[in-house]
Amino acid sequence: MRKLLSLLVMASLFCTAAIAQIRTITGKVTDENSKPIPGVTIQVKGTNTGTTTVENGTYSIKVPAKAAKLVFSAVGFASVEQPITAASEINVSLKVSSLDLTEVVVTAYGIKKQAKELGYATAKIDNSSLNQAKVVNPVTALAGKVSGMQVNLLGNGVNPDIRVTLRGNRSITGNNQALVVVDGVPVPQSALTSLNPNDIDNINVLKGANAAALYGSDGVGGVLMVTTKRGRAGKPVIKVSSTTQIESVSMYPKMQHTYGGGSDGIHDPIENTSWGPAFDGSSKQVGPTLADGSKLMLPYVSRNDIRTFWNTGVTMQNDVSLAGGDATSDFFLSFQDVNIKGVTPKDKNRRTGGRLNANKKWGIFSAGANIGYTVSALDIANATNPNSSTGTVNIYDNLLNTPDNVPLKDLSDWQNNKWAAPDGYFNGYYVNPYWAIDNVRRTRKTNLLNGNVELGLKPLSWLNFTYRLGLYNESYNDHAQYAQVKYTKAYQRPTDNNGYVGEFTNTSRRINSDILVTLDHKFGDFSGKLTLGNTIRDNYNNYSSIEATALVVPGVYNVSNRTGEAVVSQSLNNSRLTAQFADLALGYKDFLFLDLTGRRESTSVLAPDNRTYFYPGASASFVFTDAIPSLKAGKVLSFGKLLVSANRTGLVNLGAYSLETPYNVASGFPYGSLPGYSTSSRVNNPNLKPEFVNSYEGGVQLGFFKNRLNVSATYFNSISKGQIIAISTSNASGYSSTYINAGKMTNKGLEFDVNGTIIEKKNFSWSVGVNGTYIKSKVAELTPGVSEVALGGYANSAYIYAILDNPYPILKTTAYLRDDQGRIVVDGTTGYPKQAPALKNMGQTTPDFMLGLNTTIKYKSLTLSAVFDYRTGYVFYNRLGKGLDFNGHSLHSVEYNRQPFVVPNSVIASGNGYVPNTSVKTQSGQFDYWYGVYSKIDENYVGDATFLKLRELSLTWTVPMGLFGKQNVIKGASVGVSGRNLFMWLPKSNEFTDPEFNFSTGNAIGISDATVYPPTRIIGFNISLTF
Amino acid sequence: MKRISLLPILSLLAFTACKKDFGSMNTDPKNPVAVPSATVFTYGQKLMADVYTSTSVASAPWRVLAQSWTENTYVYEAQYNFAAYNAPDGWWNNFYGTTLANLENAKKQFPTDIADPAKARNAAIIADILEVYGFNILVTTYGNIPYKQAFNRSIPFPAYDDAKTVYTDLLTRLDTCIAGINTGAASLGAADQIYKGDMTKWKKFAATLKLKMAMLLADTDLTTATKKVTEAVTTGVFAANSDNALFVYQSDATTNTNPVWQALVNSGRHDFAPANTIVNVMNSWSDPRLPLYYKKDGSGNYSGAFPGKANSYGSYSDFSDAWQSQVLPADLLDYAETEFLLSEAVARGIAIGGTAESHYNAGITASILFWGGSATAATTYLLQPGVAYTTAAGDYKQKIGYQKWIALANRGWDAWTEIRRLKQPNLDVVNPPTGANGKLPLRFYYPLTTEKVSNSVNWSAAVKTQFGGTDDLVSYKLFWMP
Repeated sequence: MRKLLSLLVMASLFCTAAIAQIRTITGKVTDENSKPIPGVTIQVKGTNTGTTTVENGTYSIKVPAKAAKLVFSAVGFASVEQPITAASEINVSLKVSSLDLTEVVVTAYGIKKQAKELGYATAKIDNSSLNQAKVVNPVTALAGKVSGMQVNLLGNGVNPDIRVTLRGNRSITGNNQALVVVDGVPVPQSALTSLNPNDIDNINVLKGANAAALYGSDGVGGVLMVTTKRGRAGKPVIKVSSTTQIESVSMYPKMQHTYGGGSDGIHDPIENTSWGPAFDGSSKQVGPTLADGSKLMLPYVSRNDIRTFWNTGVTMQNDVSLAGGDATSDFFLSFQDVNIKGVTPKDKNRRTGGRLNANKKWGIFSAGANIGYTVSALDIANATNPNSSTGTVNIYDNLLNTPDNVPLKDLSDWQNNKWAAPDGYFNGYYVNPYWAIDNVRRTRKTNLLNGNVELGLKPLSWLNFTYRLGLYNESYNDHAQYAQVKYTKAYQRPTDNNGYVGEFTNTSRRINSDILVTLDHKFGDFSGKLTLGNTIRDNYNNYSSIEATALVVPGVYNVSNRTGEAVVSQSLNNSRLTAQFADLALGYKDFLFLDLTGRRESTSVLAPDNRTYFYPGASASFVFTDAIPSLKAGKVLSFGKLLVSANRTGLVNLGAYSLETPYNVASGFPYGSLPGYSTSSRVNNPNLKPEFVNSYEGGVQLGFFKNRLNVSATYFNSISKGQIIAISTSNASGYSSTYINAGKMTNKGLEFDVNGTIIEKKNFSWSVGVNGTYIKSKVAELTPGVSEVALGGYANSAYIYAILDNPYPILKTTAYLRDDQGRIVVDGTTGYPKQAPALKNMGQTTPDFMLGLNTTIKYKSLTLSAVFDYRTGYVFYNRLGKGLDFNGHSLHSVEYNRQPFVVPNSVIASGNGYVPNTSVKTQSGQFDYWYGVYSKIDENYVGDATFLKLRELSLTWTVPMGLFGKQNVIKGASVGVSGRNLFMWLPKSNEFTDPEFNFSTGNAIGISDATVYPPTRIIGFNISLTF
Repeated sequence: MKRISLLPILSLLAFTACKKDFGSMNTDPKNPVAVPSATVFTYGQKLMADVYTSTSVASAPWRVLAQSWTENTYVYEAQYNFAAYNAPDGWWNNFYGTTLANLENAKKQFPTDIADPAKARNAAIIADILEVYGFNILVTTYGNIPYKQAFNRSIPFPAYDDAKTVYTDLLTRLDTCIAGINTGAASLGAADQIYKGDMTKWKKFAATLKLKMAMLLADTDLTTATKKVTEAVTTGVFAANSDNALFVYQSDATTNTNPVWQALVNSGRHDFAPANTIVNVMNSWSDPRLPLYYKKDGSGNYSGAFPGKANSYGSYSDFSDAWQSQVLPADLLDYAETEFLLSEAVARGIAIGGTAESHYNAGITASILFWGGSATAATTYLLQPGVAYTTAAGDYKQKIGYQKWIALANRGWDAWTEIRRLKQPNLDVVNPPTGANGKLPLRFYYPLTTEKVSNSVNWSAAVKTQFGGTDDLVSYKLFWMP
């Protein structure tokens, strides 16, 4: 009997023990304001068991008896580890964290790592920071927010170009811009500029080549990893948002308002330049005397009507998005329509698009598709055409060739007003800008499809297969036209135009196919993750153009409607890149990490002997506060990490087919019926090898006061060797340039970031972030006999070069001839300054120091954010100033009342030396001097490019839920105002325009001309609702 | 939107493994690496005509330097200032980089590209004659020039060769060409736009070019000059206007028109006007070519503008319709100039038949007839005391110099070269431009933006060898100047 009882007891104990092995724990996860947080991941530490919280923040998880801890983690919050006790309910409150180091960061190829593991510097910009100023183009929202990053807005108008570089320029003549990767697929920058910023969840900036070791070639200039939004488990969430922005010109070049139309001080009614007499209010003729004898007589005063040409631009953005999902699937669907009317009258740009991001999991198998499609229509005055310079008219330049006394504001109706029509417009040499914006136009219709499909297989807990196929397809059709205009021959008129129409078609397609295998395992204190991958990328581009340079029937813009031959051309480019790579990430006790990478790449653009190359990389990070917990005891230091990395990357800065030297159809041929071909002016080098960049990086990241204050500093050094550079050869060789591997360029610098929450109270918080970059570049070597490589500019006037032993790049311009003391040498008879025989080195055109300041103030439900951007240590060339000295608007031309004067600080040759010039005045104080002599010396237009800009300022009111009463439809709402480029502080010497503007998107940075419109400021109002 | 072909996507799906062999992916399907050699020759020849006859201030300010034309608003070149538009660079690059590069390329390809070896040889000879023509212009403009090492793909920075050596080699080349011409065999045909492949005419061209080049040596090396002149005359030089080397332009497209028309008419600009220097001289002799060269001005006279000053367009004569025609041919070498050379040869004591006067008269008559004047007008003109050889002012250099200058009024480079050679008209004395930067340039300096910068080592050596220092000036004399 006793045996049975003990058996029973034992059995019951056994049973209880067996049942007690798995039990359910439930609970609720809330934030600091006691609001529930859905989508929080709860994991039993050390196992694969996990779940997520649902809409109301509750969860339920089955835990084994031996389970010790539950880990609660969610993006944007500090993770919490909660010990499992006997209690069956565990409630947890999560705090928002600005630097969450268990946070997962998406690195190359979508490989997820913990932030603490990374041995290289990265920075993250989340959706709210990206959207606080309601930008249309997400790239513009990056300025001033990331250390090491330089974002340049190159121009203005409805479709401006942007250049993004990280840690300086690696390559002398190649592409230096950062690579853009959207959801794991590398795409051209245009894919990012047309992405709806509301669709972006975050952009992770991988700063140096180290970070992009797995992207190899393309990623040597850093990577912008863009992750788009996904749906979340729970009820579908609908967001609707609408923004209206107003844009107006914020800066005009300084101009004189004393003298009007004419030359040499004599009034000329049809003159475009303002070298006439001083304004005196007398009645003077404006424009020609028409055939019927009528003429326009007006008081001769300054009207300053040039400013009235520019409109107030309006941009309207409307977005709607729908997100939802359940435990195994999620979807995100969005639509956006952006309608931009520019500051230049009649300039428009409209972009409409949608995106679908859907993912589903079936056990070990997962699939996802992320597809975006955008249609844009650009309709602008044809001031510049990347396809062809024929048929363009520089609107801004025409506008500036209007003297002050001309009533330009009344001359817009060229169809009905005889004084605005082509035959009656005052200007005998330039066209009416109002006529030009109606008759010289360019349109572009673009279809852009960017998407990827991802398949995943996770058969075992430590083995994962991923296959990703990405497609980027952009096709555009450009149409450009210039109306036929035949002027009367009775008096001076601009040159007749035979009319022009051009049609240009381009298709760009890129296909990316990646396969990844990941093995993940823990061995005691060590953890290891090995990723192996293979990638194939195919680039294809097909372009054709057809132009007619003389129309028969005016107004019919069909290339068949022409006299003479049509100008046609075609080009096709196809290249392919394949690579195999491996990434081994080792961790020791979760505080010491080592990452080794290797990549073997093969490209079709090099010869078979040179086309395959291998390069390795290594990085390590040591979280010393986790290794030595006693460091955290003082409650001051809460986090500390050291990082170091070294990496070698090969890159090929060559387009397809660059190894051959083809013949070109000779210009002007067929000549009658004769064909003609021309030798190429550049001899290509079939033995080109890839360039290699060695980069090193070391840094420290510290967190204080429970990570309320975070400081990080990183030193970087990159050395690029064997650059593929085009060198100018002697024309006597039969060609004028060739490519060689030569040259060495270095970029060294320091980045630092300080972020902190200065005040944190219940209803009020204030946080500030400062990021700074100091960078020093140097062209260390070129090739024997070559001391500089030309990059672009205006020949014999202002040109950008890579110059040996100088920073990159350098601006050289024509300059004054000076004596040993720097005084200007003038001619003893004419009093005119002499020009130095060679171009002068005016300094570097990229900043050596940049500082960004981001600050956010929250008060109850109001949020105020501001972003400041400061750059210094560089110069730029303003061709606009040269134009003003031609057309007589320049302010300095009236400094001496247009009379001859003694050039200050000048000397005259005397014997073997120079004597100060105190008496010889300039022979002329008018056009002959200011245009004929002064404007030929381009150093006069080079200025300090320092600026401080208030890039973004926004004020948002998150409507408190209480105001909506007890209804359940509207779940959130916000209303805000925002401004961009509101203020710009420039040195007094810069009287022309924004120093960020540039005449091209390539490496020739530092030249701004009249193809770029004046800078603008934007103010907007926005409302958004969540359902 | 273009349909996206799914085939590449599917094939990539299947081929995720490494693909090392890219096949012929790196060959441009749209641009050829080999073309028929005749097409390259045709282009090179057109370039020669374009480049020679151009009036662009960025390459060929010759008419302005010779004061047959002058500038109105932007008077840099009229004042001997080349820094603004870098004509020395343009002229050099136009010849070396494009014209001669194409001719040399075609010449090298002819043997492999043309099946008939006799035809190939004839074609190569035509290209070679034109190359000699071009090199002659280069060496006579600059001095030492890259020659032996030129047009070699493996030498991007060729060294400069001594000018006299180059010149001698050019003459030898001409002799080889003349000897090699096979008038019985086929030739380039329509691809040659000057003579349509007529080898007899090319022989005359080569002989005339030899005559011209030999006369350049007359002041410094009369022996060689005499020998070469005699040989040339024996071979047979130009004998009538029908022998002239003219490149005919077309009016169907702007690029096919005469560059002079493009500059004077199509540009809508008024940069040039006739120079008063030449117009006044022609007026003083009632030259029948006045209405052929110019139009009357507002007051019914022929007048010219002032070299070096800012002139107001419209105050002076404009150029004639013939000169402003789209299809005015480019004249590389003509009969009038040949007769003047023969006249000068006789005057220097070289026995080639005829008298200095007879050749002189023939030259003037040829020029007048070429421009559309009548034989009677020529005869009348020749009777004038200032024109008639016996009574014209000065020595043979001045007599021939002035008339040749008038005949070459629309051939700027040759007009400037003859003035440098004969020193007549002596512009520095008779009409120095206002604000002139020194005397009439005797040469061009080497290109500042290309040679001096990219070929700096060889450039310094050339400057040092010729001129002794580091200065490269337009006032330095060349080997053929006394």
